[in-house]
Amino acid sequence: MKKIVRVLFLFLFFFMFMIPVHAKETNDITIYFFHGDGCPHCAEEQEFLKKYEKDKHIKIVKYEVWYDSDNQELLNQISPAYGIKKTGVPLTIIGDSYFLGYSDSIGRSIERGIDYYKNNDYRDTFSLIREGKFDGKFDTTFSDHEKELSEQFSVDLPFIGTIYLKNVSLITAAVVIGLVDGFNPCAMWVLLFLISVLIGMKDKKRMLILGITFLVTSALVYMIIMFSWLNIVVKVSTSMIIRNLIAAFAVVGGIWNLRSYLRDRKNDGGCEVVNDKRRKKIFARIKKFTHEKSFALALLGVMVLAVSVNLVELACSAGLPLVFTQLLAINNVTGITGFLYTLIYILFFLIDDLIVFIIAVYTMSVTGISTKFNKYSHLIGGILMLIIGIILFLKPELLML
Amino acid sequence: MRVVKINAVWCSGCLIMNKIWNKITKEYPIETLSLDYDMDEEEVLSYSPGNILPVFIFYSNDKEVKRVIGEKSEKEMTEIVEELLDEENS
Repeated sequence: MKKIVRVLFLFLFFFMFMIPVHAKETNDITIYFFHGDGCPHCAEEQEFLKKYEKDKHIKIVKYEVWYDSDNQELLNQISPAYGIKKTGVPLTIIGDSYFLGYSDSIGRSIERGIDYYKNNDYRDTFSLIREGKFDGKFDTTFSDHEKELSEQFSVDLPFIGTIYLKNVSLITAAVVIGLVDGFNPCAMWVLLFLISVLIGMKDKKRMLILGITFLVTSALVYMIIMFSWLNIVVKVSTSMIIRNLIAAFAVVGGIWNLRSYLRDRKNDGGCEVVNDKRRKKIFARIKKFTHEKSFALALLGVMVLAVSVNLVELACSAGLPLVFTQLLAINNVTGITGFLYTLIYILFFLIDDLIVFIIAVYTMSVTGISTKFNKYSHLIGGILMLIIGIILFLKPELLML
Repeated sequence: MRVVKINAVWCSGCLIMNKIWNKITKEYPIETLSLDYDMDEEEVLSYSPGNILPVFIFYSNDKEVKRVIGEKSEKEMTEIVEELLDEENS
């Protein structure tokens, strides 16, 4: 019996080599890898790419963009050609496909890309673009397949659509920074003014609608400013100068906040009387439009007030939103995901206003939020901004969550 | 005892203190004159309130005996009132 098995095995062994194999030739491919010195995800990907360094069919070309302005320029030239709206690192380009960022799942996607281009139609699109010879027609077979794969792990939300939340750390950052920013009393005094006048009118329905309009418009203004800023920052996030400018702003903002905390502590809390003229002007405006007979005009007045107040107070509260959008930008978060993180930030930013407003609607009396919260908002906000600013200067990679 | 209280509708700390003060005045014999920083501007300025609100000015026999500025806890305010009332009665 053993003899029979042995003969059969030998027969199969030789038979295998007798079968004519028409294997497709493996393509030689080039991986273009844009990275930043000190960027942890780039370092992870460098480690990941090491296993391909000895592959005779693979050539890896690396471009450092954080300190090399020529490479940065190249990245800015290549990204739009590939339809990449935000320039960031790490960016990996193989054939007609690109991979932005790095994580385990992106690593797996790059592996699939390498296998695909080694065994299917491959062209050096990157070089064609650089030389101005590219016909502009991308073969999307691989990227379409990847998109299908990624959609299997996505979440569909009603009205919002498909979202890919990057991780819990950014959500926590949105909640914490939004909350701290919310207790910054920059725009709260206007809401208190508004509520006090509306309560005096003893019209709950009018109060509800005008109050909600004020809060929603404020949230929208904040959202538009933050989201626009995010889109600008993401486009210039590879620039060291811009990042350092934002870092400097965060450090100065942090010191300013800590100074405010020390001043508040000395004052035993309480409210500082500032901007006498502007306050009186706003108070007069609130009185005028809340007593407006035409409800539409009253609504319009509240909207204009919310827009103007939030724009003017932007200088007072710009620090933390700026730091937060920089966090999103450095993590390559934009689009619907960026919008969602910003929305979480704003919801928590508005929590204290919402509490005051809801209590006012139910009790028809104005309730304040203790100035102690303002004090601690300055302290925590100041520390956060200072730390993030210093990290942005020295080790921005630590902010990649 | 007579107290002049200066506050503003836009001041969170004043709103918090209003509630505390209303509670205290129910328990202690205090006559309060409440002034709004914006509405009663002229009268307010005559008290030189400074730039932090709320301000509580305590009078005993028409003489200013204490000025409390900023947000305080109920306990702190009660202690101040009790101390001043004791002084006034002694």
